[in-house]
Amino acid sequence: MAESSPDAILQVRGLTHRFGGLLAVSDVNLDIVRGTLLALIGPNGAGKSTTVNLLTGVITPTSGRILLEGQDIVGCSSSAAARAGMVRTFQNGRLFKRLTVLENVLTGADGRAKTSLFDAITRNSRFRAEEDAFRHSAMELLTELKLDGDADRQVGELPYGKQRTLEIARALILQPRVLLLDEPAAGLNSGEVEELISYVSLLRSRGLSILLIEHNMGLVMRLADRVAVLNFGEKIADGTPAEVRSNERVLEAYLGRKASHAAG
Amino acid sequence: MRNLPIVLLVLVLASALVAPAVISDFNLRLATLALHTSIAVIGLCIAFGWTGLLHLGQAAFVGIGAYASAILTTRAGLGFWTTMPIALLASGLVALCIAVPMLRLRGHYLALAVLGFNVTFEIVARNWTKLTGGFDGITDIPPVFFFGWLIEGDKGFYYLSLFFVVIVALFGTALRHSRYGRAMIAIRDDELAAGTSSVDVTRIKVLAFVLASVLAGLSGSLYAHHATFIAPQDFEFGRSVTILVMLILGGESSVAGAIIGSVILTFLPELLRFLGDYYQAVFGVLILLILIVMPNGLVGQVQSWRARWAKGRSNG
Repeated sequence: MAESSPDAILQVRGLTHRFGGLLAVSDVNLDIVRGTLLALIGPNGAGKSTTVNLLTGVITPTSGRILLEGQDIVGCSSSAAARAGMVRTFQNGRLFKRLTVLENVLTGADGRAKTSLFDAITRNSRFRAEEDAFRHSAMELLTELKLDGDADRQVGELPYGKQRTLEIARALILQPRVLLLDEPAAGLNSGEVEELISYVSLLRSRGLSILLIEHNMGLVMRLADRVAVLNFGEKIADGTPAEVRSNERVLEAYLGRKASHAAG
Repeated sequence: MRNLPIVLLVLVLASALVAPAVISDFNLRLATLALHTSIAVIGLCIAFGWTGLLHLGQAAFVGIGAYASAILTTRAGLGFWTTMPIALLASGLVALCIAVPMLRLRGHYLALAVLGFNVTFEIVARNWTKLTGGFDGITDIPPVFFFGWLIEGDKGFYYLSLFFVVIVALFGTALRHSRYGRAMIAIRDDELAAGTSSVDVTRIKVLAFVLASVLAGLSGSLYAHHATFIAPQDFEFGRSVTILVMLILGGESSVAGAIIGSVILTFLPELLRFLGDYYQAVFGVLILLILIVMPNGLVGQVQSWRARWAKGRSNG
């Protein structure tokens, strides 16, 4: 098995997942070079969401390896995968509705917390120092994402666009090695999409490695350093945006040339 | 108005302190019962209200604490201040032993498993006559000494219970406003997202279940010494349901709600006593109505009124 450049922060090898008789993800290899953005695209049902669930420990693959900084994280729980640095957002927005905006972000910092139950109950100096530090970095993130004015609101009171942004803040406070954005533009208006694009570019320019799962091709072409294409659970193409755009198999999968004969 | 909760808290505490001088002996007894019951309800608030574990066996853990205290004081001659920590430990340890396999079960299965444990506890308490006194229970549980001062009768016990309720309420509030409280609520709101946000879901669930049981143990220990007599039917499954209704009535994710719910549900049967045989039916309908009208409990209702009031003021 070819080990690729040492600068790959994430190497996925032979990732396979079966749901009963269905091969949802089949022998997929992916590489993310440190500090770059890899977009994962494909038609509906191509296995993109399953792949994200496999990478973040939500489900365990049937076979394959997921090497994060050389460490295999297959078999880790979702919590352990997040602590190892694989942090994600969800395509349909999964926030904690009984917590405030600030508390939602703070929950994302749980994996960094060092204080014990005893510290928390006695509210000793260790606990207060940690809590203050988390609140400080949470407020920094909220300010950067223009959510600081909403810090003490319940998440249900936020408009949809802000809820999506809040998920990114909750993921970032954990200081991920790889940030997985699962269709972050879904349901956003064009102004919000532009803000999303500039924020994701900013994150990448700071050196964050990103896996972007997206339907919006304009967004993918503008942000991606590389693009990998899935179809029926298999990777059918992997290259620069320009290469992928002109790839015959990709056009077929997306435009369904063969299928169009049958339909027409 | 921003200081309203604090003003209310001071008022409630002040009236709680002077209450024994004003109310009848019978009501004082009920108030004391409501106080130490509320400790078990606060426990359930942690496990169910925050973490979302459908826990239908809290009475069994109250029972473990009560029997542990009762057996150790009557047989080994130990005092309350020795047996009470042992009672907490016993409830907590039993909870830990069943939590680990049980919390692999989700939703209804967990509820059924804990319910089963409650029924089993009752059967064991009825039949292990040598240890528990069987159907007759344990009598003559000694009173509590506090630094050589005998806490006997209802007045002393009322203040002892109030002391513990205040401590437990402070504990619950500190827990809620820490990473543990946030993690628990996150698990109930969205378990999957809690996991991917780095919350160790299983560990937090076990912690919530064990803490709930430790508080139940404290409640049981106080109950045993207050009542001086315990029997298996005090800890039957129906009692677990009552504790759950107390929590939901008060407001399922609020420590204050847990206390309010247990006070109301302890006094309500007495207030409805004039109904005679119809009491159970009226009581049931009343509870049902409250739950339909105020699905978030009393505290939830007050909070939504306050939010509406604040909104109206900022708009006007």
